[in-house]
Amino acid sequence: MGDKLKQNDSPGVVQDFEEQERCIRLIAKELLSSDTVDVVIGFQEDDIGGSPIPLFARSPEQAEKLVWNENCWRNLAPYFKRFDGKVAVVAKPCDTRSIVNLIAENQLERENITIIGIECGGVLNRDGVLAHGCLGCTSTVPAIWDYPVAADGGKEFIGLPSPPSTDTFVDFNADSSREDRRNRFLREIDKCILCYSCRQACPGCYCESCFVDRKMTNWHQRDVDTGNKIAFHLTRAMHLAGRCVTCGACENVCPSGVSLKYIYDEINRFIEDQYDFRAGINADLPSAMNSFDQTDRDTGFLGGEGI
Amino acid sequence: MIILKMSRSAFHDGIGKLFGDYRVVAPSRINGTLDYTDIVDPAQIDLSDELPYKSPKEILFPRVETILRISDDGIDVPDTPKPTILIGVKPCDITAINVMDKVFSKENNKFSDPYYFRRRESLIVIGMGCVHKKPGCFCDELGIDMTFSDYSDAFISIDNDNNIVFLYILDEKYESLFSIFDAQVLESGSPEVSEINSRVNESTTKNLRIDADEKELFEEIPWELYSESCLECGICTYICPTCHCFEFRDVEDCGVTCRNRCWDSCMYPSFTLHASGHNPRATQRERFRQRVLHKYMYVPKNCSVIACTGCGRCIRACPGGLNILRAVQDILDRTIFSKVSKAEECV
Amino acid sequence: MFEAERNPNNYNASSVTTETKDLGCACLNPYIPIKTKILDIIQETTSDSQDVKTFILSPAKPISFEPGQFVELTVSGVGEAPFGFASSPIVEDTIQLCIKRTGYVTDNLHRLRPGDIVYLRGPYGNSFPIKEMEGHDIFYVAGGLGLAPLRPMIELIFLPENRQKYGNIKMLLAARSTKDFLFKYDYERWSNYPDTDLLLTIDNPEPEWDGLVGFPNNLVHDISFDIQNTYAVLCGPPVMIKALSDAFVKMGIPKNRIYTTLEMRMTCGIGKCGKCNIGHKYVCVDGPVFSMEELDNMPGEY
Repeated sequence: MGDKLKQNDSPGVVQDFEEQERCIRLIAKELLSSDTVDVVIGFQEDDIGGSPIPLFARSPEQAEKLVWNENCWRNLAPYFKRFDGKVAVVAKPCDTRSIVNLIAENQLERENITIIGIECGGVLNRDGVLAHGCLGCTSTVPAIWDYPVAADGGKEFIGLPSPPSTDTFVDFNADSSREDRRNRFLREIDKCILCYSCRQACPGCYCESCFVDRKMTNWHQRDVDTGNKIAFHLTRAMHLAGRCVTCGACENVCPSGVSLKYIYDEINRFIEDQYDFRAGINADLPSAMNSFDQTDRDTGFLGGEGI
Repeated sequence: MIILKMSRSAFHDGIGKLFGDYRVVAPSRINGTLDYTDIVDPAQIDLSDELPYKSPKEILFPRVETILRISDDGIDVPDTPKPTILIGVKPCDITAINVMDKVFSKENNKFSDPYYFRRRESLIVIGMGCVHKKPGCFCDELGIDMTFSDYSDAFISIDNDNNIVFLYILDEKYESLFSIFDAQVLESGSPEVSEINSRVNESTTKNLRIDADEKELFEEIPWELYSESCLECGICTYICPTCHCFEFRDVEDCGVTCRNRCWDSCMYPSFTLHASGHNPRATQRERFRQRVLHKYMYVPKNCSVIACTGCGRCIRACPGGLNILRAVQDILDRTIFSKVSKAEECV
Repeated sequence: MFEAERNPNNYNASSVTTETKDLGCACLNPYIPIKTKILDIIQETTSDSQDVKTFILSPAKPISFEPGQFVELTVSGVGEAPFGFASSPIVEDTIQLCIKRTGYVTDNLHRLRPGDIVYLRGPYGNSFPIKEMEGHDIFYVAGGLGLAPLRPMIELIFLPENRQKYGNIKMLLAARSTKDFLFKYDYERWSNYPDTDLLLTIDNPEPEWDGLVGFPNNLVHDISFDIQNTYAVLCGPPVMIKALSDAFVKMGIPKNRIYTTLEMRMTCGIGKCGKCNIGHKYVCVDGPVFSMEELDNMPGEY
């Protein structure tokens, strides 16, 4: 299966999962036995032979169960906020971007989280193909880390090549007509059953009370019609503009196979064009939507023409 | 029992004749995923040995169903939908229909659910066995035979080498309906057909039922350990063939209020939230407990069937890697242990 | 005592008709509600902290119910919620529901006016075992809105033909303040029935208040009653029920003679929707009335 990850052949740069796994276990055991952290969040083997599942290791013995391989597609970021006290996390580059975002938004205390940052050239999802978030991912190196675990197991990141990109959203570019883009959007949204799994899995969707769950004022109805689907997805997209770290967790959990990445890729591209900002890179930078600068361009989110 | 032997194309032709009077639902592959789908062309039907991703419960219990229209002129009930033929249903999903029949019937509390039964009464179920067990499936542990279920109206067996379909008509009242097939009629016992019957090992049946003191279970089982990685997304309940909790959502348009019955999920915090802000199941620990015990204890107590068919869908789909079977086995180990230790104390 | 501003006990039902179409299914449709007209709305509380109103309703078809049962009320275009009956069960053509403004449905209900239409379906749930209580004294303790679901039983037992079947009746009604008492117009009539004591208590002292002050669980110790021969019927906030039942048990009332009624989120009312489970029991079918003995054997999921 590993072959599928090496489509961008660059000789000499190979990710050694076994060596990385060995390093992760060593670091985790050390952190737990020295009581530096209370829990290490990582991956463990799944009993039924599926992709590795979350592990919350609380003792050096439990840390022995930590695994790291190309099937570790699950997104651990939603768990980072759950624990009081000190936690260590086995973080892929996308997870580290979520951490940066959560720190920037005062949701996590930097000193409470110890980051085992993994260099990662992409992982495979449950169907054995490159996970949605990995398609076209440009950061194979963690954005933030305490303990680096490079692709060869060393401490110096060697710079893995980006996993291959896709052209799933090529028909959503500026050249296509408004009608085409609208139809493309509706075709995608039509599959949605409004179960809100995407929201639950998203590390950026941490509101205590989501607008769709509010009954007084009733912003949103649960009956599954196109209007409600559009309202949910566009509102969520607006809330995540400049905050989405393209981890792909939303698309990975969608029971109906809605290609959410195509919406968020477009939004991220827009934010980058307009504000020269990418979420999850630097916790000290003000976020695109929470700050105002006289030099901000005034094109509006919709580029002045609507969808 | 009558058995029809026909070529695959004759089977497809016969199904094609049903479209006028019936809604035909069968497994079909869309974007690589096999799922129970509305069929408009028999060629869409994919009877491969694979469990469809979602369960067929939507046929009987839709995600959203308008149950009433209330206006100044009175209260109106939407028309009864077209009868449905469900083809290629796996034994686990057939067992799930049995569970839903019990839950929605008078047996469970004194009312029957009319919206469920008006669909159920006109539903024709054509089952099909599994050949191989899929990762995560555990129907055998619940005493469900993956090759056959007699809770269906007819059953298909396919001879892939010769492209032949055998249709076993289990319910005599459908013999005339199935005469539309251009098929050779065989009697059971004929040397040309292999006998199908239930090969359930009775000794394993119901061995996953949880039977212990409710108060003790609530307090002494480490529910938080099982549910630690839960994301509260509710996928498990959406794709489960037996999850049946619902809520009403009213939508008003131009003076007409539609009361929609929508699926709800015990895994959502808002499921039991009172208007006052009080929540009897405040954390994921309680919500996962409700899900497990509702399936393995409450429904068995009230309707005498386990509300889980071991289809393994929730295990395979869970983004957090929760495993209901592992939880149930752990609970059983613990309750058996506590019973034993209590007995020892008595001695 | 309070001055009865308006006495809502006598209303005539007007004729409201409704047409419903039945399903093409062998079973009855329990989800079809009955069109109901709001005849009058009584403002019960006058405090700022809570807004409680009594709705006097006239359903198109009479709904006969027993004390303790509840009904599902629909506000058109908004939603449905369960409420316990709060009026005498012998009056079938008008029904009273006493409702506090708390959530989405009740907020919208409180905006309606007399003459507006709502929808009711029911009755659902079990009822207080008043037959079993015959020959005994009854001690009602109600906290705040908890008086509403007890009122049908209170009224039924006060009927001349029933009153003699029961012994002494004690009523301890608690409210946050003098402004929070419900059904004030009934108190004088109730206390005038033979062998009946009606006591009122508020949480904190107020000037010109000559009744009791304090929580019922502390006060019951000072009230003399025949412990051996009394059924206690409690309703109020969960904290009060818990503390009060402990107090009564300590005083010596057997657990199977203490009854209360529970509140839960209930969508269907017929034991299908899965919300009101307490263990394997459904509050909407097996409840809402439970004895302390039953509750003791159930997990504390309420």
